[in-house]
Amino acid sequence: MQRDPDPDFDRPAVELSLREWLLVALVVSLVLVAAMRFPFRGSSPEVERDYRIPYALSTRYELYRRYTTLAAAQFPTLIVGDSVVWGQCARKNDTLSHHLNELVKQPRFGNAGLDGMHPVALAELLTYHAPAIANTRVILQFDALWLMLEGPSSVHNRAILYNRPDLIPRLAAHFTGPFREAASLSWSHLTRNSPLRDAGERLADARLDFLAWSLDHPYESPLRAISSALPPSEDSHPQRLVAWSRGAVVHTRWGELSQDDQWLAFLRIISLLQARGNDVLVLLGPMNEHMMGADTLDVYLKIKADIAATLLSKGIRCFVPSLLPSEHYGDICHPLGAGYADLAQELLQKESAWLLGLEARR
Amino acid sequence: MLFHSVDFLVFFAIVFPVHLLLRKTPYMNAWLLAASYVFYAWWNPSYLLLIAGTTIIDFYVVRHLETSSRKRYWLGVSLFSNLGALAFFKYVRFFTVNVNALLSLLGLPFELPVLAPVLPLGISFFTFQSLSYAIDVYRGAIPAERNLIRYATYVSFFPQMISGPICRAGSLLPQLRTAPDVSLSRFTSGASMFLIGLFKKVAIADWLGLYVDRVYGAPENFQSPALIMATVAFAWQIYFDFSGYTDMARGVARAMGFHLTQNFKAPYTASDLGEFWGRWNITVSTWFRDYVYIPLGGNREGRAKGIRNVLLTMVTSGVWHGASWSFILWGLVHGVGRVATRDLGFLSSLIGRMPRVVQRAGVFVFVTFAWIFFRSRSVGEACLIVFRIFTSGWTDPRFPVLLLIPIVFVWTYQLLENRETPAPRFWDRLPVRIGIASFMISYLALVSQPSAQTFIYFNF
Repeated sequence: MQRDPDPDFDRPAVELSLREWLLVALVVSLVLVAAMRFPFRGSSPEVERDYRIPYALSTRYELYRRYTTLAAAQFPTLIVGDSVVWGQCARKNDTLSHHLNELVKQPRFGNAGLDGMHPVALAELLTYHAPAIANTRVILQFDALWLMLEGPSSVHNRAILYNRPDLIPRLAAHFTGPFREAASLSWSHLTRNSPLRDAGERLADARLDFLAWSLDHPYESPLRAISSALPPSEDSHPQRLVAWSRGAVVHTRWGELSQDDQWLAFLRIISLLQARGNDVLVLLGPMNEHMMGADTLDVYLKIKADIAATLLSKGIRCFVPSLLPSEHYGDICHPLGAGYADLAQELLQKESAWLLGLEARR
Repeated sequence: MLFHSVDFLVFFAIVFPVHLLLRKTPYMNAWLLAASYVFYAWWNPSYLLLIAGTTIIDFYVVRHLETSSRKRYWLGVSLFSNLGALAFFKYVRFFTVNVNALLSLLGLPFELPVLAPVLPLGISFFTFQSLSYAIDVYRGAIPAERNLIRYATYVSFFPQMISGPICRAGSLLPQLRTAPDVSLSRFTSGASMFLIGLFKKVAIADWLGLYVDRVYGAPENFQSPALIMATVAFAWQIYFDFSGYTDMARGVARAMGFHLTQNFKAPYTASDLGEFWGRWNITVSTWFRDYVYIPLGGNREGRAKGIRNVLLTMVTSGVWHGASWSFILWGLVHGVGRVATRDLGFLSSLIGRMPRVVQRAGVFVFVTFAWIFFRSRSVGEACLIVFRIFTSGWTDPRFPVLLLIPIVFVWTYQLLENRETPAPRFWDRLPVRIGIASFMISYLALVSQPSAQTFIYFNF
């Protein structure tokens, strides 16, 4: 029989009896209650103009709630989407929101993008973690990357895509159609409507953000991070800031638009935002069509046209940007800083009345 | 399913009470098997076909093996079934890509289709567990199991099926034949072990991982000090990650009345490489020792064959960890290190004369150096990192100083525990234990990253 080589190491370093566990529970309860009630976090309503959620905190959804609450009060328009809005291949002062603000010479646009937010996840995020995005203008970006059946990376494995246990109903990840809806509803009833929800949210709000922050401020006291309303917007994530390489052409199959989970979730997002009184402009793309093989591109162009037609038929404002120059893309979907500048320019040219709030809201 | 997730909490809250009710009945194993299959199928139910299929094949093959006069034949069938599945899922892509590269190098106009199946979770671990069972029956060390449900539970027992520890049949199967001893003290002890593992993983390993990922994500952007600090951080990240998983697995099993084999024993306090492998991932190290190194002849057949056997065993260990040249190189580096420090007379006598603290530091530096090959995405990247460590400039690594606290604390603790005359354990005092446990839970609730990151060893 296999035996432990050293029985001393078989014991946990800290071993508690039942009575001691109860004592620990008491101490921890006191600590958590104090953390939830003690106003250690300063209130700084002013959000930095080019603020974006630190990359390493992309799964801190309570932070997204805190940020969008502040940003919605400050910026007339929020840009919502995935890493294309966040600026995966650009510094924070080179993103779409930055260039729009530069062009209009005032801070009108807030960056509410979050890495990896495919529509299924974004729908949950906006439903449960962004109630403040209401009665405002929203540029909602749609990234056709999520319609690819085989993508340039492993993100297209659905099991990985749906691996957001804090956000996506776990059971829903395995089902489609009515089963998914039923699973989502059950999950919501189980977790989001539970009597502990308020306490859970208060606890989440009390969470400290200094782990990721410590990477950018390695020698500073963590108290600085704890006391600020939002963790400083980091900008040193190792981003790809160079143009895509010519050899990396993508060949993929695309899903059937009318039945695709991601597309259906995107339509749900639009309905949700409109139901909250938002005025929505959908930004389609901009995908890097230079990087698509001929077969892939043919189908993509048809899908793009279908999306635009579907949105317009539903009375939803939709902006389809021109293809950016090849060297202004970092990969299949992310523009570089220069690409965002082009995009902002074109967007402002064609939608200036809406962007500047000169047009009556729908 | 991850131990550090709400899913697992709910899962265990259902599994444990039923286990408590059934543990003295013939249905205990059926319940544990059902729970283990749910645990395994949580992400991808289709994987169940693989584990159930190989389990059934092995069960019947090994029963034939025990009674047959053609034992070698049946052992071959078992090895083929287990290693065939492992080879297909884990190595087929590596094989075809390298064959195609070779064909292209030779200018031959052929190309094999590149298959890239999704790697089923834990396949390396449950395959090794099944293999050890078949080989032990073949050797006559244990009898073949007669109950399929019990055998299937042994292969897939949920606390350890995905990342070990790899339990030998002689250790775990007898525990599944009798009613486990579940008591309040075992439960609270298991909970204590689980808490420590959870803290190691979520509070320390994942934090270290933030720095490691940043540097190893773009090593060309960093200079020597950052690359060194990231490599040291990775050495500790993988220790906290994997030993944290093991602690959680053993804690869960202990709470249910089972004993899983110890897998880590303060590895960074080792003073030679042999000792390191006796302390690191012990169940895998001993597996390679018992089923690869010793059958090859160990060190019984002369020095040259002894050296060959060490190198072969370590390279096999590298291959087991992953289908990539960098893992093979990692195994080879360890093999060469082991041979050099054990078999080169002048070097081993020189090391033997050094103070123990220097020996320990030397082992840590060597092991940490080897981790570069383990962590890098390719051999080219590993070489780039080694090259830059020795040639790039010395700029501020911007390593968060707070990260040093858990490393220094744990290292000191392990060194104190490992002394020949151990100091009185001040952490055994009640206020200290209450304080440490309260701190760990409060920290997990208020500070650590809330989203679950998978364990590094899930990839193997």
